[in-house]
Amino acid sequence: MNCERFQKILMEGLSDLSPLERKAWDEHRQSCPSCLQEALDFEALEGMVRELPPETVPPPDFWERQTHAILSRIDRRPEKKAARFWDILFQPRGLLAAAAMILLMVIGFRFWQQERPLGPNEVGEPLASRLLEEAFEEGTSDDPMDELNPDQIDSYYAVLAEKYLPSPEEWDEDADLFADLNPEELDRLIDHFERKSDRRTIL
Amino acid sequence: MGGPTFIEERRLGADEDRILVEEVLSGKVRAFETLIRTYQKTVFFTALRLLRKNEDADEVTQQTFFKAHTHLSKFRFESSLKTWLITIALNLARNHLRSRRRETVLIDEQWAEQWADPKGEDFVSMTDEEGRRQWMRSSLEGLPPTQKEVVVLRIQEELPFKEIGRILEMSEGTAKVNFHHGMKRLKEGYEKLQKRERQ
Repeated sequence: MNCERFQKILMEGLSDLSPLERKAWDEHRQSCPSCLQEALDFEALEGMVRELPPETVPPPDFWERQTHAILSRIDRRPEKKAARFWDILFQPRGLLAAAAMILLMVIGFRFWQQERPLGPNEVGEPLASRLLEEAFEEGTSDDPMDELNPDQIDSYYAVLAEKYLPSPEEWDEDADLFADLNPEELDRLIDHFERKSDRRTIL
Repeated sequence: MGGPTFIEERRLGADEDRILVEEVLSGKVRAFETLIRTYQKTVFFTALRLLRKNEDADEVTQQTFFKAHTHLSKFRFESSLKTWLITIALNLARNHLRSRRRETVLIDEQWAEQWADPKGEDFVSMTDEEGRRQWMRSSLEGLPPTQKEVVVLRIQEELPFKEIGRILEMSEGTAKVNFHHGMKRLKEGYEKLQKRERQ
């Protein structure tokens, strides 16, 4: 072992040394006078620091009083109150949960709207829009008109007539009345007009 | 190396720490009292070294154990219980110092004066124990604060450099370097004093 390594170990402590290293360190200590002096000085200083009494020594009952003061401070600590709804909500976690819940509700509502069966009292523009939307959705095989009751069918045609037929003063012989409809919509409309003409009074 | 320390406290190993913490968390009334009695001197004198006033060190010690009790369930045994408590105490003591900024300035000035002209060497004799104590106290106070803290934590509290680094928010290597410089300065003073004694 060289002097540099010896002094490094002296500073960092001997506790982590292997038995072999410890032996080498002890041998160097005995054989190198300058390192021996170094070790003796270090140990003397270390002993002085270790045994240095505190600058002020508290009175004998100080520790007892301090212990009781700490324990009574802990006893006096107010119990944790049950968290209130608003307190929880305005915590970051609460806000995140609320946002997730709102998102779920929006998704759920849209899903429910799509799947919701037609209600018997559903009429007018909302009914018409929904039927048009559903009828031309890709992959839809069932005709939603089949589920309607007579009142709903009349209401539907009334909306279509209002939407697509011009008023008498706007009537133009050359105008294409159904220019806004795509061929599929047109076919479907004509089909309904033909099949249900006995119930129709408007056209 | 080793030997008795002036601050006589029961030293607990990692397993005893764990048992004590588990007892506190399970609601054993006397367990926290044992924890206080085990570490209160270490915590108090750590705070006192920084704050230099008994009343302030007492207050910081009480706050340290109060805080430790509140957060004990979060203690993960990544360090020893003693290191954890010293870390809390030093943080609280530093906050305390910040609120006493004017006095902190005075302490720094006092330190600068001492370092420029270490008074210990002028009047102490190394032949008697009290003289050696006076010299050591004065020399320790003369060290830059970080070196002093590392030397005290290493020798008086017998903490490994890794834990000292954790407490003082520095790497293990920096803690070792500070210890080395601190001991070197103490040794320089010691050699000067010995030379004077021989003359």
